[in-house]
Amino acid sequence: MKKKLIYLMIFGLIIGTYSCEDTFLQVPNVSGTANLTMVYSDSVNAFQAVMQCYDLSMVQGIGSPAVNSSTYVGRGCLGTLTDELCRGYSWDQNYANFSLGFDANGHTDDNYGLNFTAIRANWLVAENIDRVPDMSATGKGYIKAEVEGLNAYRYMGMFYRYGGVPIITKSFLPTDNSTVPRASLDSTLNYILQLCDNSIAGLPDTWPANQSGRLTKGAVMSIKARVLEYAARPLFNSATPYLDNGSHNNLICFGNVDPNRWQAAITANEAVLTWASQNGYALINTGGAGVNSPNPNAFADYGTATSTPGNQEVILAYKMDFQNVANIIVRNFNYSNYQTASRWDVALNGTLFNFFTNYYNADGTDPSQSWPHPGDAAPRPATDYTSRTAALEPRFHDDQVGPGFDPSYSTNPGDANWNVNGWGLDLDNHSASFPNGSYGLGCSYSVKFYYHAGSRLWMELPLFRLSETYLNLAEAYNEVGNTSKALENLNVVHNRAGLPSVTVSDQTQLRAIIQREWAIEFFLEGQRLFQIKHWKLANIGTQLLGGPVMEFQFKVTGASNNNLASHLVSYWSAITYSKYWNARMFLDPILQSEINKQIAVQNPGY
Amino acid sequence: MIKRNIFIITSCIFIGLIFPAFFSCLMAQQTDFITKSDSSDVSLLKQGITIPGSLFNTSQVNNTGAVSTVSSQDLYNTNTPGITNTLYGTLSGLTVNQGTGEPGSDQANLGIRGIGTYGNVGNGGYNTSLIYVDGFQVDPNYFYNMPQSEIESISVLKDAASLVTFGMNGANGVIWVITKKGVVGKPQMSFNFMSGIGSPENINKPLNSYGYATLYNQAISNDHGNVWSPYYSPTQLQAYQNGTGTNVDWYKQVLGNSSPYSKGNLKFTGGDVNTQYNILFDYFNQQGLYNVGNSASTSNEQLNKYSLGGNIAFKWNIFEAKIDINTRLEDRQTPNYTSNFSTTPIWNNLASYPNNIYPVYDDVLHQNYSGTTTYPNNPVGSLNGLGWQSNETRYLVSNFSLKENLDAVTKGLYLNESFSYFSNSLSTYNKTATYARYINGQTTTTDKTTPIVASSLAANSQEDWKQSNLTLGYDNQFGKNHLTSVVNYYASDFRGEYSNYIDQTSENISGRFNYTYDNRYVGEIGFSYFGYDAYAPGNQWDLYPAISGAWIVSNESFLKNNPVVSLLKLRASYGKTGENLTGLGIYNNGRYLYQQYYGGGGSFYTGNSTPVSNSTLNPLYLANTKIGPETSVKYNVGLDLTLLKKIDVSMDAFMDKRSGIVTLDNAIPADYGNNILYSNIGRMTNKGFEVTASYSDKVGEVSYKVTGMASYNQNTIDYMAETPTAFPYNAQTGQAYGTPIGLVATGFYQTTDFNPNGTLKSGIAVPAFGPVQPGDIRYKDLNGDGKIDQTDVTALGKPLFPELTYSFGGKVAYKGFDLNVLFQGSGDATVNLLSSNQTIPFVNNGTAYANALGAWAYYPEQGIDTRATATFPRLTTLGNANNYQTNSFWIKNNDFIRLRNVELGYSIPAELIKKVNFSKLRLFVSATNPITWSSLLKNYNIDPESYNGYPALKCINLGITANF
Repeated sequence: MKKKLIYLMIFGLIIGTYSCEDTFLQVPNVSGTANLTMVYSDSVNAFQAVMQCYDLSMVQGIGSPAVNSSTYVGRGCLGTLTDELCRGYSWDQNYANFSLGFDANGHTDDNYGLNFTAIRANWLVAENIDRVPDMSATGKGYIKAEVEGLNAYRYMGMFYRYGGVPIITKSFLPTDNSTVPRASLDSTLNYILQLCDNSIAGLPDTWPANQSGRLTKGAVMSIKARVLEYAARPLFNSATPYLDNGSHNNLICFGNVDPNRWQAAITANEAVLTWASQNGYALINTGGAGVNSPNPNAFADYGTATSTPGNQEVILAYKMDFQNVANIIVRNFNYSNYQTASRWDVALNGTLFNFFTNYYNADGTDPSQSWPHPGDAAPRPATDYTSRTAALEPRFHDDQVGPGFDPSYSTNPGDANWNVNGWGLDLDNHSASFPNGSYGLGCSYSVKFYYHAGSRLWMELPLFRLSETYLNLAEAYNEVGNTSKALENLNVVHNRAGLPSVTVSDQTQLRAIIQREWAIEFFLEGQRLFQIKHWKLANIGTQLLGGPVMEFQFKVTGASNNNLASHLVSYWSAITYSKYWNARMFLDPILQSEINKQIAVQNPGY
Repeated sequence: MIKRNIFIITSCIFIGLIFPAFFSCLMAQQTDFITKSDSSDVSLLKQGITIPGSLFNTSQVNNTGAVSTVSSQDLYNTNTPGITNTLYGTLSGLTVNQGTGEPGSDQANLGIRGIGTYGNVGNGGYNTSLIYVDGFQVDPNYFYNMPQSEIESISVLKDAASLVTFGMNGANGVIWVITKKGVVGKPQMSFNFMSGIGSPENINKPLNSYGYATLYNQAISNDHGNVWSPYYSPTQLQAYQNGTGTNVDWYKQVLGNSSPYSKGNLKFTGGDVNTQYNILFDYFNQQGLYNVGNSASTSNEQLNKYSLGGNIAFKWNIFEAKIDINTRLEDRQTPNYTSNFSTTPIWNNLASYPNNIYPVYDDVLHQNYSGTTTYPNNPVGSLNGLGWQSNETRYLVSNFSLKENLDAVTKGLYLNESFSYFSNSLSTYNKTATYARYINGQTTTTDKTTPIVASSLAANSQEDWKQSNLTLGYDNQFGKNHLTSVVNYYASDFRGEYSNYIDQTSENISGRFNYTYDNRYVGEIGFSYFGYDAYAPGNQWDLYPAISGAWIVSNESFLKNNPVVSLLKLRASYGKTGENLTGLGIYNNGRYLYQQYYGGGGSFYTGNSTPVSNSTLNPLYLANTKIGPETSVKYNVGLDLTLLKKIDVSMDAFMDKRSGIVTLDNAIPADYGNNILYSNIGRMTNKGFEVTASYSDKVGEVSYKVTGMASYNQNTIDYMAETPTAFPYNAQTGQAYGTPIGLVATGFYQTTDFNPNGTLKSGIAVPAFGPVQPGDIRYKDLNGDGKIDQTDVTALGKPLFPELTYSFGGKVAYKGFDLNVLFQGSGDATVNLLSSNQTIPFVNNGTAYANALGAWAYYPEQGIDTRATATFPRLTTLGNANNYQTNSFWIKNNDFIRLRNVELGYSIPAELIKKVNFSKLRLFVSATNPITWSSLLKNYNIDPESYNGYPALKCINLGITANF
């Protein structure tokens, strides 16, 4: 009896133990955080993952956190790295880049790793979106096309920064062999074009108004057009690289000069124009003057095109945080008295004389040589400054404000927070005598993107504006020798700006004029740093990205508001400091820590 | 409050009044209670010694593992408020590091065999071991506050043989606690009571007002470009010097004379072969160091602890049932100026408020506390004016086991089922107020003096822990063969308060098979097949085997009756254990690294005139489906030796090879797109040895015993996927865990090193931390690039965790007297002075300490010139990035020896006490931590174990032990 009892007990215990073992080690109920399965189990979560892709992908060159620093790419975006803006305060991320040049320890305009963070997030969506049960097939198709387009956008940014980069075609698992070497420039280009074509095929032409900001067919066509334009420019479209990189020259150079690359750019840009005209996008030119005639409404039209959210000229914009005034990107573009988050941080980002001379006079004449230049024998009266600036073209007045400007010419007329009387910040380097050591306030201050903005602090930074397509075409047609098409496209932009048509037919002269048009039209829109490099301009190290920094300095009466015309006495142009340039900076460095992992190959010179 | 007082009074009456009533009515009991002075038969005890272990205990003969044990009588050797502070120098292989003396938070840090992993480093390498009480795992806090009277023995399980059955819980060692049980015999009662007075081991007071002001003048002048520009005028300095200026010794104002504590317990035990019982009541009370009374609106820091426990063992037919229940209440009360229940904020103020900031009170009536916006927290005001906080921790631990002896099936077979329920909860109750701060009759902050307000009783946290065992055992002897074997199934279900550790489950099928032949040869194999819920299905289970053996050489015929060698035993073990991710604080879901988690990102905006904010979900760390536990392969060889029946020596040498340490992989390329990947890729090696030796003898009526113990450990990080460093010498890899990596200081910059414009002369490496001045610390440019930066860092010394810990001491007994002495020390460790809040003067409006008196300064017109003699960098009132980098100037040797305990006892002769029905009556007086030898203490007046906050205590104790 005892034995039977014992055997029964043992049997019972073993069965009992065995039966509960299976479920005992299940993952406990963890509250709060979503895992991948949960994210793709309903469309609301999945959509949030898509929005994260946008957030990660489109911020490049605007506010991507720099390596080794919690600060952002820039006060005034990439402009501080070019001839556009002063370098800012010593603690600004770009200050060191400006003074010491790029290095492989994080002093560049880009966080190399964040490119792949965005790409990974994009692939994760592409790979998992089909799992969402409550989303239409159409919606899934759009999203897949969108994330491919975002990958194309991010690869485009890497393409003109680094040259050939690793081609990542999926989200890696830790078990994958992730040693992807840098692909050649040619393969990288082809991959981007492939991404673009896939994406264009799947995207809609338009989104509902509350969804605008997402990629459309036209946006990705614009990506493709810009990539091909950069591929055709002389930095890459060359038999020899800017610096020898030994056996890795194919990472930074195509190895031949091929005019067909310009032809490919033309085709892609013409396609954008065609799409634009079919979908209601057009350059804003309300003057009705037609071809080859200056637009009388240039001030309003250019202002609207660069500032009004969702205007018909902008194919894709980065819509910045509109509620959070502390948003670091916004607050470095907005200098008005409405911006209270960090009024003083925006100082020392004045527009440099190096750039200032690009502006035409409103009548189309070139004033660049008549400004005071460093080394002039004596300062000029301040009235010279006010009268000369008053004569400048409308785009200057849309984009810049300086001491002594007539407030009625302001982009926000009648608004005390937007005029120099109520500015509350100094707009000029000044002292009671010459020479003096003040610097940083340049020749004027940027008010771009805030035409008729009033108290609206948020802004849209245009990523693709139709002017780009015209200038792309002007540049490409000029390179292939089609002067008439080049002039036709150039003048669409030039006339819209209120200027008389350009008629120069010499290819070299016209090239310089087109490049000058790029500079003015796209001030602070983030392309100049790369265009200067890809054009391989001769004065890159002496005027544009390196060399002496020139600014105006004013003598003032010493009264309280140094911005008022009545307080300005005289001014001159001075060299205030120098910028570093080295030929290696034609392309960005790959991070040294990546090189140490012995997978990536460094660009030459770093 | 009133209720509590009544309970305290009742307890006191119970112990103090009712107890003596037993004097006259209880029968004297003849017991074999082993007292600490019984040293005559130490060697002979060996045969009967039980070595506690998982699944079954072993004997001195068949044990194959490395286990050190301290039994209850030795634990009583040291009288301290908490159990962990009795462990210094008693367990070989256990490094014990003294914590604070704060009532209820005074647990020492415990580390078994050094640091084996950088994965879970606990508290600086300490407190990574799991703690088991009576075979079930407990929350460490439960153990830290266990009354000494509850504990029968504490063992440290160190090697593969003793740890293998713990599977994924075993790699960092186990502290194995056995509580007291009923013993067969007539009813016994014992009573212990002791009282002690604790005082700070060391307090490093800042300079007085004169010293502070004098140095401040230097510091501010240095900040003004070495131009003499004093802040304090000669008149002010004179006032400080002659005592008319404000000079408040804040420590003196805030601290009382001592921290008294007392504890007592009553215990009943007895039983026959079928039924045994043990009943315990223990009470503990400790008052904090503060100079504040206990009233409705103020409270000193204090701890009241009540423990009630009982166990019963019952035998019937084939069944043996045991029930063991322990409950404990821990009532803590502190002034309402705490962080995480600790009064550290007061100590931070004491360490940083200069003496001259203001008098304690702003008015002659002493109604208004002084305070400024810079120094808002008047330490006296914070102590008296903020009210108090209290919290109560309640533990209920109940274990039940039922054993069936299955001799009917086959002799020696048994089955055992046991179940443990561990529960704890913490609730808080506060009475709070605020006080206004005044200067010259004007309030300086927005605080207003408010009446005291009571909070409601709030539950703060709780834990439930259910554990169960199902054991099949077989223990039998056939002639010279002895087999002890057990197979066990264990399941654990933990439910705790931490949001991501809400529920943790694990299962363990383990076993041990110990075979002994002729008391000469022992072989043992053990295993664990362990499953844990943190890993991907299919990856949850892992097998841990171990093999071990012993050879009792002294039982061989050639040594059997050797007069010199009484015992010679060789041991060896080899096996594998593991370590789970639990406690790895990475992101919110560190336990589930195999899952791709998402967190909230920023917002992305769409739309035109009224943009729409779209929430985003951001993929977090890279999921690693292969993630699993860390693996430890342990090797151990040991030797036990007894010579002449007087000398006992035990030695162990070990090596622990860790692999699969969960590590942030810094080597993965950026093109992964997510560089936060935790993988099982880290490797470490830890090795060392332990020696214990004792010699005991008797000369006439004097019996004595001398003991010594040393533990040494040394670890190396073999691989940690470090971000590739610029130079090999920058790396942490290849160094011991915790090795300070920093710049090499070569002295101070001198005036001659600078150009007239203040820049460094050419040829002198330029620091990347900002401009330097004469008197700043100068560093070696290791890579010779003319810049001092993070590429010039290198290993600067030993880690803080000591490589060597040792102890020595002795006992002497003569007639009824016994004397006990224990010294304990540690060596091969360094400390970074910057980790103490008493090192950097003036920064963040702090005060200054005596160390700053040696600062570099050169003001010839003021007669100040320490250029040649400086022992401290130039003073500054600003944060000085150059001087306060981790660098060799601040790294100091941290070796020390303490006299941990000295105790004199007197047992009243048995003949005398027999008449009043005592079997034993002993009185004792003791001192813990009375003397410390340490260069850190000598040179910097900083205690080698407690650098900041509430100080460690030294105690004088008085006590009585009575058995009936």
